Amino acid sequence: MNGFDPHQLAEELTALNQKLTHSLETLNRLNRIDVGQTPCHELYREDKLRLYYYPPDYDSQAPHAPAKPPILIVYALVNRPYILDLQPDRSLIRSLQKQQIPIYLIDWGYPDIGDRYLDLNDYINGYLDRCVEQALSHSRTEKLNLLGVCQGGTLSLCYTAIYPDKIRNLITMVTPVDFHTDDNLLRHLTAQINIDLAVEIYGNIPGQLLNNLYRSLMPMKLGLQKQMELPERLTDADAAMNYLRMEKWIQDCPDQAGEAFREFIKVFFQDNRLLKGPFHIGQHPVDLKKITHPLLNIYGRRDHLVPPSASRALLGLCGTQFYQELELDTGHIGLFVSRKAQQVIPHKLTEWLSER
Amino acid sequence: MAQEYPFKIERWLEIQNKAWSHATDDSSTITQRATAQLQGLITAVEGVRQQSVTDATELTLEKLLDQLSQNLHKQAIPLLTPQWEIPEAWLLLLSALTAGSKEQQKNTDSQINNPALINEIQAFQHYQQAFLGYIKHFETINQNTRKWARENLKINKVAPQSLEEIIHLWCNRYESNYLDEIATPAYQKSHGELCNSYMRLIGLINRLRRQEFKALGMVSQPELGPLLKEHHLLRRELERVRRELKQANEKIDAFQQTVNTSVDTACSETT
Repeated sequence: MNGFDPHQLAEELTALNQKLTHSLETLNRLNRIDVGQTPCHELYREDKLRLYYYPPDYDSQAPHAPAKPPILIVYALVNRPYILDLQPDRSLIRSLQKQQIPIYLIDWGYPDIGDRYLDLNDYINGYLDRCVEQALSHSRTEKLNLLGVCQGGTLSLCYTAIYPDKIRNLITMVTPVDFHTDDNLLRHLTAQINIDLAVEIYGNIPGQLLNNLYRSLMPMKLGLQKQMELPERLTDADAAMNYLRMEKWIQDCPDQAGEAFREFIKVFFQDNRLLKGPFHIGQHPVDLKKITHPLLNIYGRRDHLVPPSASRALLGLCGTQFYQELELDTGHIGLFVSRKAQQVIPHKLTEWLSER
Repeated sequence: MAQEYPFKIERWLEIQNKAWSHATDDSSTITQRATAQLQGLITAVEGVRQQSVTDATELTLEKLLDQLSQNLHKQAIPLLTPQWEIPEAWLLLLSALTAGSKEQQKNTDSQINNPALINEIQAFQHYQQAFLGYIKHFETINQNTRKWARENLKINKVAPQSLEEIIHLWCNRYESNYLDEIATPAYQKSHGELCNSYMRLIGLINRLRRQEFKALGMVSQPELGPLLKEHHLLRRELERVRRELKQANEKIDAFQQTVNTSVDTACSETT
């Protein structure tokens, strides 16, 4: 093996430390980490849930353009929705606003011990349905465009199958449909975990536990390698704030209502029911063939959490004749915050919706 | 130059740690966590470098890799196991219990006949076995990565020129080996055994806690369970009633409007 110059090594360590010290100076100049800065107002609240309304931005391009049909965004239960509005220049919500699209966003909140027995019936036929009703009433429309993100996409598929008359178009983003594909790392890791025992022991499933599980899907990239890059990411205040906003979001995992989590794991992860055909959420049958709406399925080519194979399984499962896919060369998070996604998704969505 | 290295790296890191704690609340939590591992790595590499300077021996890539692989592997484990590690106080208590029971059996040839205690000791032993079984997978991953590094970095014409490059190559290979490993049924079984044995153990610990809470007159989780369920059902019922009330009000409003219209029409016809 080659000899390694200790002087060079010392220089590298010194440089690394200098960068770390510089990072400190940068951090000391920062204010609090601000996320979700796009103005909105709370339209509805129930228990921990909040429904926010983001009016279309008429000041941006065409001040007299008529408002477009609204979109209701159904985010996942397992993370916080402000990833869609992380900062002004990385905000899917703001980009859609600028296209004159009114946005409604569901924030499921942070379940606590009192929410231990909430199940998928409560979430889909209860909270989600009432949010749809609120958005329909507020926007004075008869049907909504529904945009489901990640796990929220799975919930949106169930909702649209149960209440097809309330939905105009369905958009799914990085949505798991087939939970049994070979490249599904999360499935590999959770295959032998006793979910009944987990709910019995924890009640609500701790968010920190889920966060650790996500991180263990790519321990080097998301752990050591990322930390090696830390001094580079904290070179100036803007870069540091970008980094810290993302870190804040990554660490911010709400606990999961025990029953809903158990049901989600059993129905989707273990039984793969979306693929196997009709099943029930509460008293309501879920049959994807009832989804005859135009459907746009957006996924990331390099998504390690929801691999493309898991999302693309949607093709042919629904009753729609108008199924379209949009693949972006990003990972799971990149689909919301990358420059590429910011450029492509809002325009594609607007174009796709205007054709319908 | 190495001898003139201007400061002790340990001291430098210590100063940094103090400074991190003065950063803004949000950022200090995040960055402290993130830099702890980076600092561990720096310390490890500095150890090899200092040793080589002290012994006046060549700092080979092999030596550096040995140290790095040990350190990176040591750092990878806590990234993968924190959710399955029992609190240290309980670890000490259960270790003492297990050791005590073994000692008792050895000295008196008598069996422990407290079923709860037997359960706890068995659960702890099962957890320990599962933990060791799980860690073994990472030893294999580390060995394979180490083997790869020895073979490939040695024959590679363009050997890594910097620490950063070595770490980058090592991490990529480690991750690739890890992803192969987690797809195996053996890994999934080990992971499942660790998670489940951990949860069973926590269940037993909670049972012990509950006894203490009960003695203090506090409500335990199982006692709270039925109340929470009832609260949940009532909340659902309340929502149903609220909706029915809203519908009824809407009907009344519609009816009232019809009445008003009829009255208005009748009035206007009369006048």
